[in-house]
Amino acid sequence: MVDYEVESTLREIRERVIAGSARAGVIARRTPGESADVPGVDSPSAAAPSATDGEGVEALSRLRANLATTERAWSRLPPVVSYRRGAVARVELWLKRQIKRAAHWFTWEQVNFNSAAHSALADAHSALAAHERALEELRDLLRRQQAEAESNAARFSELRARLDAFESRLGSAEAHVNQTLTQLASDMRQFVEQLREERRAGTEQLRAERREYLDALADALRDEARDRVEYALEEQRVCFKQLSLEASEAAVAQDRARRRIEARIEALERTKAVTSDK
Amino acid sequence: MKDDLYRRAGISDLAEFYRTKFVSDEVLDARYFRALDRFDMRFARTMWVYDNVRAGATLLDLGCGAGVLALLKRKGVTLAGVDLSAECALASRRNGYDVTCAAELTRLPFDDASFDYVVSLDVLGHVGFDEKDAVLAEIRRVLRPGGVTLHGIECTDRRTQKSYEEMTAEELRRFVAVDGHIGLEEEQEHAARFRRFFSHVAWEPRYALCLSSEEFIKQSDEYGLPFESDFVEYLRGLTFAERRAFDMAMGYVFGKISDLHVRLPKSGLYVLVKASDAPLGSFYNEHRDRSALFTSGTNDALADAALHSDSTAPVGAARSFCLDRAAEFDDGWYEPNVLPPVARWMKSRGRVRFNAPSLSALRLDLTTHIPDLTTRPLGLELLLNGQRLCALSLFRHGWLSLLTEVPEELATAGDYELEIRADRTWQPRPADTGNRDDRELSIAVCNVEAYL
Repeated sequence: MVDYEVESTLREIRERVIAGSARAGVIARRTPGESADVPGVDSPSAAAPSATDGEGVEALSRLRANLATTERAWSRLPPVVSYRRGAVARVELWLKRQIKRAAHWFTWEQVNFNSAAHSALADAHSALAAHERALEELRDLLRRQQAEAESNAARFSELRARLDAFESRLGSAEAHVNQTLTQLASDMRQFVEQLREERRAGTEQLRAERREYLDALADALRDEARDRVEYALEEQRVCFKQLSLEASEAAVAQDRARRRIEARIEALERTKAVTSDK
Repeated sequence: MKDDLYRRAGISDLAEFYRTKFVSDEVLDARYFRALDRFDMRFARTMWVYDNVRAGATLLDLGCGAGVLALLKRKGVTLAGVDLSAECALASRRNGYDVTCAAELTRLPFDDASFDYVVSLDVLGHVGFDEKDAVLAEIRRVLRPGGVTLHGIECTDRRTQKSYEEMTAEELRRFVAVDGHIGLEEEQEHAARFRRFFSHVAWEPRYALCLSSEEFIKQSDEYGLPFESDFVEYLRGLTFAERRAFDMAMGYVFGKISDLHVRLPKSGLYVLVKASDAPLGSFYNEHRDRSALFTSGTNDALADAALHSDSTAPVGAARSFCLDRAAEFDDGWYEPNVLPPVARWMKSRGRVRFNAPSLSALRLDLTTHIPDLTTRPLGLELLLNGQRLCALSLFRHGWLSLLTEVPEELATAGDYELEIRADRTWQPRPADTGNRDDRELSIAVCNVEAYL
């Protein structure tokens, strides 16, 4: 049992030595301007994983290893042993047992102290681990923000370049527009003048055409009126002709009636004459 | 009541309403009447009156309209007419009535006992119920003793038709607006009303079987009479010539029913009433003498008179007589219209037959309304007894006076047949559903004058 404990203690010492040499190697590889004391703060390289990060992790590992030791050994006391032999050894062991019994209060205080130290170390480990995680998150956030800032800076540079290009083109376009407007104003003046001329000519032409149209319309109306008058006259002629023919028929009928009456009168007179002769 | 019904129907000017309903450009002058038209259903009522009126009598036509009784001039009847519309009175006068006037039927402007006959056709159905007795009293007043009154009256059938009181405002408006009927009664109610004024009354329901094609469609469309719809649609699709054939057939049957004294059942459409204080003769043919309808040969007398009288001869011209009212116009001519003047429209070919002791020339006035005349002149050809007198093309509208000489070899033929041929016709309004006229017309002719 004792051998086992000694062996594990030695292993811990070896691991500590190896971890210490590794940390020394990392520090040696750093550039001279880099600060190892304030990792990740106001440093352009803060976003990158620093040696301090590793150191913090390493320290926590060591602390966890020590905690394993304290957890295991805080209530253990060394055994009562003697390197002597025989009676001397027995006396020595007896004395040591007596001393152990007499110093029990001190041993007990040591055990309490060990326990308190172990608990304190465990709490410190938890706090440091939490702090380490928070730091790691902050570092990640910082890295992201830094990447975003770099991206924004690049985007800003690009936008700036484009804005400069636009301003340049706008300037040339404004100049072109001004030139075009000037040209258009000139053309417009010419066009308006030309329109005035055309309007004058068109008005004259329309007046002439209107005169011609009105003359033609008047001629057409005269022709239509003449046609209608002619038609009305023809219709009148035909109606009067019809009346004339009806009047002739009436005259014929009257003449026939007159002749019939005269014939009857003659017949009556003849009858009267014959009667008077008789 | 009467005015109220008219007002509810939206009719404010009665005279104008009846003028638009009953005045047309149709010529009813007896001198233009063709004997064949006695079979036309449109003249069925006229012929009933014609066959019941004594020749030479005096007759008062109540609600004379355009003068549908003008035919009675053929029997020498003295015709007087009364109408609400002054224009109707004038139209009757133009069609040969001896005297016409605009007056209310309840206050006739004639002395007592002035007429042998008082007639009304399609009138008493337009008289309000509160005025009917007053009208009958006036009829009795102006009739001579023993005089006869004849009436054709529109009726209703209360079993199938709503009374005025039962109609909604819209139904009443539509019903009265069709013809102005505000006093429809049943057949026996009319007869009963006449019996209160005359001791002898006879009545016959008519028009249960025979209606003109136009009347079938009107009764179906306007009054909702339940004729078979496919039959009405068939009638609607008939051409002018087919409609005339239908009306002639209907008129023929109508006449035969009268001649055979066949008693028809109650029709709810129309009743003929004959009444008098004296005993009545035959209901249909009391004074039937149709010989005057066939006197188109009066051109003999006219020609003879023209030959022997100087009074009709124009100065410096040969003596002549007019064929319009004397000659026989065949089926190639439509009945005369007032264009004016009074003229006959011709189909693609028309013939005029007449007699004359001699013939030196023919003269006539003609016109056409055919469209596109300037681009496509109308070709005409005149033939006399089959021999061509002349040919011409009409290329303008308006009246043309045409005088053509008669060849020597035809001068004394006696019987003549003038034939006119046109190379095309047109239809005035073939697709007008409201006022369709699908007659095939070429030229209108009048004042056809024969020179001796």
